[in-house]
Amino acid sequence: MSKFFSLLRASMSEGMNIFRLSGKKQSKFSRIGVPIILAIIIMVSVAGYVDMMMEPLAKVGMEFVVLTIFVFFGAIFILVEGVYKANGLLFNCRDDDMLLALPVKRTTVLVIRVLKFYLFEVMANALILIPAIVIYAIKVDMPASFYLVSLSALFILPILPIIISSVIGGLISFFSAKFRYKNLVQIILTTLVLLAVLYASFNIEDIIQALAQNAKSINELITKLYYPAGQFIRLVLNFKFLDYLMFIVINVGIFVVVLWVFGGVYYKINSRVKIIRTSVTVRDYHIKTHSPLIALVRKELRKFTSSPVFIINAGFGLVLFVVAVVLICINMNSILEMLVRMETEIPIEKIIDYMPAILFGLIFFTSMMSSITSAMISLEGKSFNILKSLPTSPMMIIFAKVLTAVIIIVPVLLVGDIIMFIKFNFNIWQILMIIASSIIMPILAEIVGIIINLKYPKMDAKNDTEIVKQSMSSMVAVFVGMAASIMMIYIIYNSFNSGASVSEVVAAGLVFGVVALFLVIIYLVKWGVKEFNSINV
Amino acid sequence: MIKISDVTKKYGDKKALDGVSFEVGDGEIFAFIGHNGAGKTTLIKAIVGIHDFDEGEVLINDKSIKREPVACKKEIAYVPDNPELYENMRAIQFINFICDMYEVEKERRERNIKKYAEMLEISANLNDTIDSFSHGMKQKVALIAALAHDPKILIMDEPFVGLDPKAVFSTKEVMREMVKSGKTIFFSTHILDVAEKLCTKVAIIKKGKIMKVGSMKDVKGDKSLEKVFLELEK
Repeated sequence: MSKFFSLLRASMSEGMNIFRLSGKKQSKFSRIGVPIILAIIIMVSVAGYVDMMMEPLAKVGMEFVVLTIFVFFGAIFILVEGVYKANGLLFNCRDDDMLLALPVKRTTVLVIRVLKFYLFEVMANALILIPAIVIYAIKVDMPASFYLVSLSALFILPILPIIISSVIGGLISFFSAKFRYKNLVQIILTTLVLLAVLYASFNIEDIIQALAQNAKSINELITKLYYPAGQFIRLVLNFKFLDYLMFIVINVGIFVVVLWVFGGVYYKINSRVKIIRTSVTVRDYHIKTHSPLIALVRKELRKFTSSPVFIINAGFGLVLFVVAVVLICINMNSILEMLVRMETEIPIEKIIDYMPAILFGLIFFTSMMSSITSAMISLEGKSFNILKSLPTSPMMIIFAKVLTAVIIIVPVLLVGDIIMFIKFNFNIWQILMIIASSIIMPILAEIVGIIINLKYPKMDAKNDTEIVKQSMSSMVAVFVGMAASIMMIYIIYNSFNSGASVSEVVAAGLVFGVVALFLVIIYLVKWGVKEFNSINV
Repeated sequence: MIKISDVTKKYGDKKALDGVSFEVGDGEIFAFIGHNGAGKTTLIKAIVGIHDFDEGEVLINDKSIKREPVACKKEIAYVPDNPELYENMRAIQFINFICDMYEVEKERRERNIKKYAEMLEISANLNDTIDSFSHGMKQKVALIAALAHDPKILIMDEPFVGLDPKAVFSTKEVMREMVKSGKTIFFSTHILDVAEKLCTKVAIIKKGKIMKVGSMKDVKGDKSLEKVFLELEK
């Protein structure tokens, strides 16, 4: 048993150390303070939403529905994140050889990996669930049993979504490994699954909207879709010890059974995922010469295209941008009807006139949320020393990374722009400003991304998922992007009523982008090389 | 020529390098030996410009690695102890990438890649991705990439680890050939027999301080290098 706990402790300390920066001296604040601040921001935001929803529900005496909804959100969050994380935490792990060579049973290694995955998701789910439980307990006087049930729920509720996401992640890994271009197949399969989840979420939203007036129906719908949520709510409303015992036994029982079945096929899937295809022995090879900058950009593009999680993470926002543009173009009437239904303050009759500003907002949001460079330094890993030993300036290496990201993002934005130019009447100035925005905003976002990654590098990650989805750099980039986007959307939204012309709004946004770009370039030139050189691998 | 003057590097309070000074002249094969954690890799990384150091100076052919890092790096080739190459690339793509960074002309790179790939018996694998390679094969790829631009100074950290006997022999041949044409080789090793037979000069480092440095003959006298090293370690 001591072996089991030693392994679990080692595995957890490595996996949970997402905020530990490697290759750099790290202050206590960034190691402990930043993660706590990020967690507080998330929990306070969730608490705000819970509080907002409690008021109308209190009027109909159904406050508990807020718990149902947030339990459901937590489950969806785990489901989507779990599909990403399964490849890296369960499959394709770099420590396979080391762990399997140890004198421990294979099932022990599997149980440790599943536990690590489980505990990670419990923590993520807690960020959503704890604020909901706390606000609910503040607003509604609850007996002591509520706290016992809620505490148990934090550990019980993630089980089912984890099982589903592991199965989906495993299937994706298994089937993609059968093909020669397994990375490509993995990208396509994961994108299809994520689009399907997104589509399903939209449909559920429609259903919920249709039942908006009836909280009871929402509750019934969710508890039917996600059985443990129903069990939890029943216990909150009417605690019976036998039901509580059943709640735990059923869910833990499912977990154990699935683990037992999964254990039989796990190593087959895992060994298939790890198959490396070598080329047919060809003695002829092509030698082409490139300038150092082009060579660096080609290297970055190769890294990008060889990492499914990197592509999916960056590409998903771009795909959604194109989907949004196409939806605006082909389904404008439905969008207008929806806005009327939502009783928004936006003057509906002016929406089409404001389309350049809306497109500008979309470009800004997409650029800010598709930060590719926020992972590019960390993805170098131990190979970072190769870059440092090359006869080129750090600034050129940084520039090549930003350029690569811009090369990936800008064409997609321009395709969206062209679709909008064809559908709506933009004047020449608006067209020029939108094209300029589609170039300047990604440059701005990617320079911000690289600055964040230089500040928060993680050079010892076990896999790309750890960097792209879980590193401090990626999280900070998402928060910075979100904050900037909310600010920009707020300004654009308010400009609808300010009397400014749409061209003036876009021009102001563009000027803001140029000024911000100028400032971040100054920062990068002044501190970028210093930060680059301070990373020791 | 490499000139190291009073180089000190600290990790917190601990001195990883403590006033290290010596010179490696043109046409010399210089062995750098010391036990694990003595400071060999730290010094090598300081010489090739990967790590900064707190005090002192490193000159590469009279140019400072601190003040003119790019000019210095153009004259150096570096082979790390554990070659962490770009796993997603094919071997030939990696070698080409390094050649691009050193701006090696097409004819010269073709000639050198062919020569060293054949010498190290890896020509048939150049189209394979690096993630399918063993440690030894990665070491060979790193070596070809390092040699393809005809460096004036070759710096290697444990170059013989993981190589098969034929590759060890070929690597030694390459080193001898380079030295004959007046180039400089500086490498760390734990294989004292090889150092003794191959090198003209040697330095022994212990806890960040140079314990002995000079020609092989001066350092070991009538004893074996192994005996001298073990006596210093006591």
